Amino acid sequence: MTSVAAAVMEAPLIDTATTVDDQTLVAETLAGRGEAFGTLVERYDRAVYHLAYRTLHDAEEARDVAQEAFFKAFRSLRTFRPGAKFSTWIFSIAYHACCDRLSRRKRYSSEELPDRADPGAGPEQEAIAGDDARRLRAAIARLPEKYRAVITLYHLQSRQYDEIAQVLEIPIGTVKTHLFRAKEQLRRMLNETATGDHNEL
Amino acid sequence: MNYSDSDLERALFNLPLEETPDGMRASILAHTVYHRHALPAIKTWEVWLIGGCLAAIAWLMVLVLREGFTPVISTLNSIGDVILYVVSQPSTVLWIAVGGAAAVWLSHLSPVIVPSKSGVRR
Repeated sequence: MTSVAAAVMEAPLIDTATTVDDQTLVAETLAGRGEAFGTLVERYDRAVYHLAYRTLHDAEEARDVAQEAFFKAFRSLRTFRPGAKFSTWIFSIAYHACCDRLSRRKRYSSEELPDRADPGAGPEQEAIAGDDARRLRAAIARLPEKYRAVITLYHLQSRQYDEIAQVLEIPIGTVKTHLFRAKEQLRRMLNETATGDHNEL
Repeated sequence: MNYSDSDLERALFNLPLEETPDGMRASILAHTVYHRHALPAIKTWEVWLIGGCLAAIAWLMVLVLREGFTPVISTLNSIGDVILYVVSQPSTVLWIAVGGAAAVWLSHLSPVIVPSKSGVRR
């Protein structure tokens, strides 16, 4: 295991190892203990919002999508398949809601096309000259939508290719290809930015 | 700085998640676990009771308006006679007494329900 992977395992983005596992929380919610669903919301709301924001680049829409995803999950909790992962399920609901919004945008305007890079993307691009995190965020924002989703889920799902494939409903091989290309583009953009900064200095 | 594969991985996994907007979690909880359907002001059985009373009052009023008080009084008398006849039967009185005693006895019990041992059936 590489040092990066070890670091990820040491400090997971989503804290699921604390006390009760997601399956138990789902079962408790179905048994009428509302606070169990509250714990699930607490555990995943930030990650779901992050996915929606990275996909849509709009804070208001991301908030709406995150809320809708939890409403939908709560309403259809009885259909949740035992043995499945709650995180994959909720990310999948949120991602599909994002896709719906993107296709609506595509229908009503020509600003955002899912499969192309968005060179004029929002205020994040202006922050390219900032620190590493801001630079990386800006680079991710410039990725085509399909690569952006894979990179975001790679981050959220702690590198689980099969989980990413389930959320995006694409084969694992495609996930790997998209991830490879996304990383290539990211590295190129980051290196270009770094070179630009160096030249400016 | 030239980003290598491991630099990129490290940067990706060090990237913090977006902060959620204020009130988002509260809003989700308010619309899910804390959401209760507005309870009707009156219960279903109360609606039926009120409806029945209103129907009886309407029937009485129609009867009074059409034929005066005499037939109303005679109808009420006959209903009262039937009730008196039923209640005065020894068997009816006996069943009412048995039912009342059982109700009083049950109201003094405080049953304790012991859960089964982790659902294991013998």
